[in-house]
Amino acid sequence: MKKKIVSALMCATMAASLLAGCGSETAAPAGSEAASAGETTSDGTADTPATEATEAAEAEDTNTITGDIDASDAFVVWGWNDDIKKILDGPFAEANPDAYSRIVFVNSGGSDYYQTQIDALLEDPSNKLYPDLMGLEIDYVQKYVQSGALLSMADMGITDADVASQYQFNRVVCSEDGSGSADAMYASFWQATPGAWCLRADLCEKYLGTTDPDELQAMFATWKDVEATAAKVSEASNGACRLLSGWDDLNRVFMNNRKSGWYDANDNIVVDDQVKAYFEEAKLFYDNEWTFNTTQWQGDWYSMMDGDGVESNAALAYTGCPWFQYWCLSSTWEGQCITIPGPQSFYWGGTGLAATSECSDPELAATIIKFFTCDSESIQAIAKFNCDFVNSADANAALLEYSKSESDETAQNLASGRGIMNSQNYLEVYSDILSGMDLDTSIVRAEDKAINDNISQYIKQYIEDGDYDAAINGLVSYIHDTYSYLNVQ
Amino acid sequence: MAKRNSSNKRKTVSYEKYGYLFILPFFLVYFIFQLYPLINTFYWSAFSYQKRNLKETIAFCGLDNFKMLLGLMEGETPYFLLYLKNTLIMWIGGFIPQILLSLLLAAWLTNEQVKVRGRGAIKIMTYMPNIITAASISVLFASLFSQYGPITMLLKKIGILSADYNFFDYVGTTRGLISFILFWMWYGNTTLILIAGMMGINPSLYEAAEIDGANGAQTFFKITLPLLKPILLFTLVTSAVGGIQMYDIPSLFNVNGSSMSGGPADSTTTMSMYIMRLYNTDVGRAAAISVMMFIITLIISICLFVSMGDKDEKLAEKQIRKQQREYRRQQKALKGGN
Amino acid sequence: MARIAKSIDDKSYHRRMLIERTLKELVCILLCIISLLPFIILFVNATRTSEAIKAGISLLPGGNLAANWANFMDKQNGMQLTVFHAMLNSFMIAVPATILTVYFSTLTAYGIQIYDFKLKKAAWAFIMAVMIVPNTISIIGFYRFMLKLHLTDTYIPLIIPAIAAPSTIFFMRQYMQSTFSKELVEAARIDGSGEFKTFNRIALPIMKPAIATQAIFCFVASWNNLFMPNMILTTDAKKTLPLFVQMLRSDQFKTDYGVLYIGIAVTILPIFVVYFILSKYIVAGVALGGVKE
Repeated sequence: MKKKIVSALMCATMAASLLAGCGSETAAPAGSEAASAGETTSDGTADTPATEATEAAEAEDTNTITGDIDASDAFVVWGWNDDIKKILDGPFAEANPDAYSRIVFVNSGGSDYYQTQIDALLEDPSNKLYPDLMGLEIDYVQKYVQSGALLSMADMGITDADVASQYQFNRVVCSEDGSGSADAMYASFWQATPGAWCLRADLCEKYLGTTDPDELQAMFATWKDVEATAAKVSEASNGACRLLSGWDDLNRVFMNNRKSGWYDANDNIVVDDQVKAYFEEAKLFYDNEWTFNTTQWQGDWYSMMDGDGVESNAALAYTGCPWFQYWCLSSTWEGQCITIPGPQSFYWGGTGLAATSECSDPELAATIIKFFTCDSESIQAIAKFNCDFVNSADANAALLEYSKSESDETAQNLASGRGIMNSQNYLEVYSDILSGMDLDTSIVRAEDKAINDNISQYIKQYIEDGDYDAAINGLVSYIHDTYSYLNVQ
Repeated sequence: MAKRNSSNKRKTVSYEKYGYLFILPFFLVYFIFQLYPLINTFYWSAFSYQKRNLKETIAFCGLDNFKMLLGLMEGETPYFLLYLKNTLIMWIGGFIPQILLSLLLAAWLTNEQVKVRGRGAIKIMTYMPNIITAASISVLFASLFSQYGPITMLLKKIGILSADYNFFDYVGTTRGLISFILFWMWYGNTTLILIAGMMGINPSLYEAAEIDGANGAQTFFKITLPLLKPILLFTLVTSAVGGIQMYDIPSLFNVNGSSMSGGPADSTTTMSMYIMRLYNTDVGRAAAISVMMFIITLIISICLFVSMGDKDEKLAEKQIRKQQREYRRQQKALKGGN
Repeated sequence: MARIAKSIDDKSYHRRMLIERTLKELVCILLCIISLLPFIILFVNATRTSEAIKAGISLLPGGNLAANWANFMDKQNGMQLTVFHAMLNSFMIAVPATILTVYFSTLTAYGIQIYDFKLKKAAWAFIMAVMIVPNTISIIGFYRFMLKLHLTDTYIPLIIPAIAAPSTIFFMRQYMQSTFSKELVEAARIDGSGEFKTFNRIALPIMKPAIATQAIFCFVASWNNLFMPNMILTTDAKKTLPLFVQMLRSDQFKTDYGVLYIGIAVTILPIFVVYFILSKYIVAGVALGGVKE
């Protein structure tokens, strides 16, 4: 009995201390929650049978909808977050107030099930939430490009000349046939996402003896150099600092460089040489203890951003890209980031716009797409507005010029990539990387994300038992099992 | 008098029809939301029903889905068997220590000669993990045992593990941890059920055993265990049926994103996770997995009925009723206490 | 002589008992600690900084609770679902589902217990037979069916099927058999009470203890359910607490250990507190009500 009281008391105190600590902080979030509830409107599922249950369900909003969905000329734009909306509300509204007033923005709230929701709607054009225009990510853009549910750029009157300034790899990735011409493009990207190695200046100084980007690039010029550098870092720091947090940071560096896609025109699964190169490099990194073997996006991986590399563990480099730099690197990296291209080029993500085949107003769709992805002036406005690294060589050249010649806050923000760069000009570095980039994005397949996410498992298997064939067979049969329309040869 | 009697009879007869009305909602809902979907599942399992780039293809394929899943077709890996094996290994790894510890604990807590103090508190504490959201528990353990998690770091500091050790890199440790979580979550529950079963055993049997000079172990193996057989079987079956559906813990433990593939090397993927992986893109095969899980459940239940037999069943019923009395007594005591 | 021997025997017997008891109690204390320890680490880590957590284990709370909390709330911004919203969603499913389960299960059990209709035996046999068939088995058909009815992404598929809960019916009937007599119903009839009124006014109150026990377990089962909502609910704003836990694994919460732990702690806390308030009832009910899983 006594123990019961003691245990209950213990729990009560634990609970109470937690609650008490929270009390003072709860006011703010509650307010913001109320504010967001004010913005939302019901989506009109009112025709389901009226029971206790539906009433409960209806009290919840399905999606965050901004604008008048019932207007006859409503133009519905879908996104999984507010990125598109912010640009529409900002630079676009300023330039096209009339068109803007017709736009209804639907925020699905999270990217996880964005596709599930969109897919259901695409089958039902009569639904008033049927998207006229929607955001798409590079990871799954091919699924929609191949679906026949979209309009091509040419269908909307967008010409090759309009998209000429876009980077080739971004045009190819959303083409039906890998040509990158306007009549094959079913989506158009406004972000360009060249990949780069982000190095932490203080750790470079300590363990590599320099913070000069060119000297550092020389240490990362080939895989042999990278390996030597990795060995040097581990040795100099006694293992406290290592080149990368985990070997899976190398995933995109290899996967983007494949010469063939995961399957060919006959749906036969193909394993590119770069896959083997990745397996070997990962094992080498593991065997030599050049990383901490963390998994990307896990807490352990993040925690390697903040160590000091002496007392606490730290990673000297992360493989990244423009948005990675200013969104994902922690505050420790502010003013510390040295960006170099590394041994081979790669890219990471990117967001585009696509108009649906039953789009109510292709002309307006074209206006919006041109504003986001074709017209250099408006693209520059977007970059100045939110620091996106944009998908237009012309615009980037003009922005670079601006960031160098002007000294206002916007120019500084652009030059320093929101304050993260050590000494380089953010736009210049990435423009240079892009100009040297020679990747065939026609190898991108609709299933890539799931496949690439699962490679690590089989690399772990290879690391453990050293049997490459068994590991790769495991991967291939996994692909076939998950997508049974793909054949094993 | 006679008149009243007859009217009573007529009334009684008409009353009995109400029975149908009372059980109607259950059967209606069960048929619509359980039985019809079950039949539907069987139906779809005979189709190759796939979704690719938003386009659906549906074609009758007979038993091909089953053949594929069982590796009976050329070039197919028997993933179903693989995931069945994973599930069974993790379930057995949790169940055996669970039943052993529960038996021991139940015996201790019902022993009237060596009265362990604080029985109530022990029951409350050991049962507690069972009621906490399994999803939270899975994420909690995953972070406690992650490469730089508190428990891993502690073991590294005292030198049990090497500096770069990661539990999640190895099949044995990942499965072991999942089994441990299941054991840890469920042994309290099993203990409570076994205690109830033991309290239902007639005390005069123990008295007789004592007079005959039997020691603790002898009484346990000669009296308690045989009489506990129905309850043990019941525990085994419910645990097995639950174990076959194992989902919450492994699906959040060592899984990359939403891939529904339990690492390392697919060694902790369960059948329910397999369904979750395929339900949207490959309906036919997902249905076939369900059907096979149904068959396994059926086999387990049949085994139960066969092994229990008529005598055991009656015994079990008797014990349940005893438990009920005990329960009501406790309730009364609680009420009185308040 | 014999007496002396017995007294020595008694002494050593008592000592042996004492040692045995102490040993057993030690083991039990150890088990209690094992049950509680992960939660203690969790709650303690929720109050510490990310660096401190990384540095090692501690059983003393740190002073970073407010900062972690602010951080955690901050990370939820931009998501369509906050932890409190998720709890509310879970609540809105679990409460009606629990009410439906206990009410209709009691109703069904009553129907079978009180009335002697033709199909009574068959109905009871059916309930017993399907008791062991888990819901997940029919999930694919269920999901396709809900898709056809346009009920996916609503709470209806998570609430209405709760009416059919064979194991709860089984428990209710067992309880009824030992507490409820048919004479009571007949007496009510003589008083002119209608059949449903008799059930609602007389049977339900008598069944209260059983209903309370079952309600707790139904609520917990619904509250903790991950598999079914994961399939049915797609919109973030509608997701339940276990699905929020699933989201805790996503990138934004993993940037900081303190945030992760406070996130898990918040999801556990309500049921943790409720458990310790109701623990004696729950533990007493487990052997009877909790046996279904």
